[in-house]
Amino acid sequence: MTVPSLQHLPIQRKLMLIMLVITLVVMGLMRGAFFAYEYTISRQALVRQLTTLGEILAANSTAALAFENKDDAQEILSALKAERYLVAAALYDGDGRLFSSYPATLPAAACPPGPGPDGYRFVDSHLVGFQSVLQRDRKLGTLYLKFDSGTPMREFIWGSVPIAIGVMALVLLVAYLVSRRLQRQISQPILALAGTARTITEHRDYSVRAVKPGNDELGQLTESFNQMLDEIQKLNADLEKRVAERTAQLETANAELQRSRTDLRSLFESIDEGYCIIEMLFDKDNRPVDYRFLSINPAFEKHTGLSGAQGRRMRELAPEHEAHWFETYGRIALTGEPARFQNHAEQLHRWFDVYAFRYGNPENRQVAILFTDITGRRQAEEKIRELNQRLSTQNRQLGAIFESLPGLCLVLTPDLVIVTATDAYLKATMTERENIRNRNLFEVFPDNPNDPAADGPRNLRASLDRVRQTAAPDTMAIQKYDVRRPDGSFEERFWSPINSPVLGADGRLEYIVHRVEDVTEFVHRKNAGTESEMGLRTRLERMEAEVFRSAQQIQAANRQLEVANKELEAFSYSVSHDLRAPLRHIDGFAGLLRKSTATVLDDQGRRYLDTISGAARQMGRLIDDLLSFSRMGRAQVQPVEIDQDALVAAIIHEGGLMKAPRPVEWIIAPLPRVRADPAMLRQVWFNLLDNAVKYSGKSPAPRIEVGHQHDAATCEQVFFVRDNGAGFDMRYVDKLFGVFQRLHGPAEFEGTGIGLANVRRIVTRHGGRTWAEGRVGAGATFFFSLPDQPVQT
Amino acid sequence: MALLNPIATAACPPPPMRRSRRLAVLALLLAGATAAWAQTAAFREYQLKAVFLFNFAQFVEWPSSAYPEPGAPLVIGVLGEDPFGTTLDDTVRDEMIGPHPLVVQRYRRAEEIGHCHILFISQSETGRLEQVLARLRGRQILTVSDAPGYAVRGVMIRFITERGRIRLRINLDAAKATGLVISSKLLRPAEIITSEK
Repeated sequence: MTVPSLQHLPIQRKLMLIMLVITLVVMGLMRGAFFAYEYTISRQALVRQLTTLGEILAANSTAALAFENKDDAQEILSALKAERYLVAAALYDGDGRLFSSYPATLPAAACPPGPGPDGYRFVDSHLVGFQSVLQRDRKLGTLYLKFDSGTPMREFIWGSVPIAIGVMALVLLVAYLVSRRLQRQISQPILALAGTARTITEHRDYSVRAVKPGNDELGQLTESFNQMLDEIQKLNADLEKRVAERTAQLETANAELQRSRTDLRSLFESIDEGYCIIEMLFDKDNRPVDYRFLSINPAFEKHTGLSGAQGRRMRELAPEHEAHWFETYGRIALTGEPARFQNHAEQLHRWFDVYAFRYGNPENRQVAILFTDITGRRQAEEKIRELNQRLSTQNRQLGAIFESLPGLCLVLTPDLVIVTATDAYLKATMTERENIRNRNLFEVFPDNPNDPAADGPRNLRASLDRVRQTAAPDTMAIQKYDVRRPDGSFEERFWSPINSPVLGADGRLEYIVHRVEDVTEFVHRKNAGTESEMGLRTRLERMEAEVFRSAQQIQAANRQLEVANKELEAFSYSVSHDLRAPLRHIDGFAGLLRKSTATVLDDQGRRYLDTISGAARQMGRLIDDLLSFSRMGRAQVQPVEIDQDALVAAIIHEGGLMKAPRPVEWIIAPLPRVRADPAMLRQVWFNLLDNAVKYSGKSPAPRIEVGHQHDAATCEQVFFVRDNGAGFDMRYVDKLFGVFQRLHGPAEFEGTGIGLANVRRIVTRHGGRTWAEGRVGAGATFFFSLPDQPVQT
Repeated sequence: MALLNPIATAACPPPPMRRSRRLAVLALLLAGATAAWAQTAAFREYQLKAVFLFNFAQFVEWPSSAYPEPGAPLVIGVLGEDPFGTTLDDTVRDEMIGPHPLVVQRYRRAEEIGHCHILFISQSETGRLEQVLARLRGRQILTVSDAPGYAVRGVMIRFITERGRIRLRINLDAAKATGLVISSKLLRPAEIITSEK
């Protein structure tokens, strides 16, 4: 049994074991001491016994020795046979001669040759000794005794062992029984306490209390234990409360954190920008030499072209990466100052737009980098810069070319601010370019205050207004427009100006070029009648003058035409309007008449009435169309972007075209969006589609196809509407789009003859064209085109 | 035979001083005499008997009244013809029993016996033994003899020689009558008899 295993024994066993071991040890010691004592005592007793025996024998053998009676001596010694362990005895006479010996068979050599000194001693497990035989102090002889002391001792020992074992066993049994009873006194309370403690540990129930066994130390221990439990229970409750609170807080915080982490993560994963966290690597002098990618987002690879960068070093991925990158990131890692910059990475063949900031604790030396590959943008910018440069060079050149043009030209903004002028113009007007640039035309060139009849500026303004309105060049009559000299006085000048618009790509007026010819001299000469010079020059001048004169006449005629046009429009409007009223009356009263005379009139009468009403309505439609046509001519085009798919679908469904006498097969291709006046474009599509339905109405299976194509040569979108209707003779194609021009009679097909004229007018106003193809009885196709960027008029 | 015994036991270590003296005496006697074998055996016999007489003094106790004074000698008397020669004198010379030195006295007649403790009655007194014993009655004297029939006649101790060995025969009645205390040890090797009535 080893001591360590004794530690794991239950306390009951331990106590019992201790008691038994103690008993065993005490018993053993006692037995040992007792045995040693007995041994000593028994030896002493043996000596004493032998001494006594010797004395008795000696006393008895005096007479035998004194009277030399060997028989008697023999008899005396033979009494020793009662002594089992006496192995030898002998009597020596007074002269030291062997007188008698025992046992009788003992050889003489077994005895000492002569007597020795008195006394007994142990020799080789035998007790041997001599005893003087005295009679009245007179020594008569000597007695020799030899006693086997070993055998009885051994017998004594072996005889006592079973007894000792028996006693020991008995004692141990008793000790065991007693200790079993006694150990409970100590072990039971401890075990009860241990049991309580175990219950508490297993069930975490701190409300359990141990029962106090008494007032000894164990009782105090139990009491202390219970007090401790009180404390623990109290603390536990407190702790549980705090833990619960803390857990709730933590859970909230955790959820918050989780959410924000998920947000961040998804942001990190989904942002289009590249994002990475790097760890800066410094040499021993604290100079940044490299960095390692700790984490990268999915967009990283797209922006850098580096794959599998995570965990690797930049120098490893791009050994020739410029030093400034490491320096910049090293500075950020050391100072914590974020940086935004753009720079080039030669080995990656890329430009980057970078925002970098220190990430986490300064000692970690980590930097977060948010970056975008701007190589494309950069190249585009580069190209733009280049183009700009080239443009400005061209601009300069064009400017120089313009300035050195021989003509007299002035460039104005639509607001009549002077942009530039040719050198010739400056010379003719005695001005400097720097003095007139960015100034209003009429501020620079005012009226001559000394000429009350001066109408130059007024005419010029009117012409410029016309250009601005119509976006068309305007040739002016020769004007007298005096020029102010630098000294402030005015010099008489005659000019022949032409104002031309410069339109932008969107059709908007951008500049007005005011070109003049100084005809002062010619006018003076003409006025003075100095036509002395003949020849080519004279003829040329005459021709010019003639042109000038006819131009002036044309202008006058134009003005008259314009006035007449306006009057005509006003007239036609009023006529149309005034014509409508009686027509409504005719139609209305014809209807009333049919109702009131329904029973009286015969079929013929009713037919007459229907004809009257139909004619009146037809007349009304004609007038409406005429009004509309005239409005189209005057109305301002207001272009917006239009979804033609929706427009065509709406016209087909809402315009009553589905109610054709026979079902029409519609084949409509997707149409592009265009810029146009919505009401006008609607009119165009309605007229074309309505025509198609109308003229295919008599076909057995009417089919209408709508489509478009782009004409790259003319930069036009071409739209068409194709039907398999009546068609037309291509000989009369030119008449199709004229007003009141009809290829079919009203009896054959209804119509006013204004629809296609209106279409042409609208398309023309949008800068497009109209045409048609067809064959009699084989259908017709009507085309119209719109310029890619519709011209604004 | 008796002579052979000492020779038979001659294997024993050298005899002590006294023994040598006796041998010296024996040698002197042997040298001085022209004695026959019988004489030699007799000499040897009396020599032993002399030692026995001496030894009796050790086994018998006399009352203090037996001595006239504390240091008075213990007297061994020989009555009648002396068979011992000088042997007895040699034996007791310089010996003491307690405070008492040993003295040998010889008496021709019983009347001469005065102060005596042990009396060897010689065979010569056979005719008047009863007178002698009567004369000694009441006196504390140990009577010894080697004459046949003496013991039954009232002598206390008689030496008997048989097969070359000397044995004792003790008349206990006679001894008791004198009031002497005879050690029981002395009785052990002896033959006990009583007086004839």
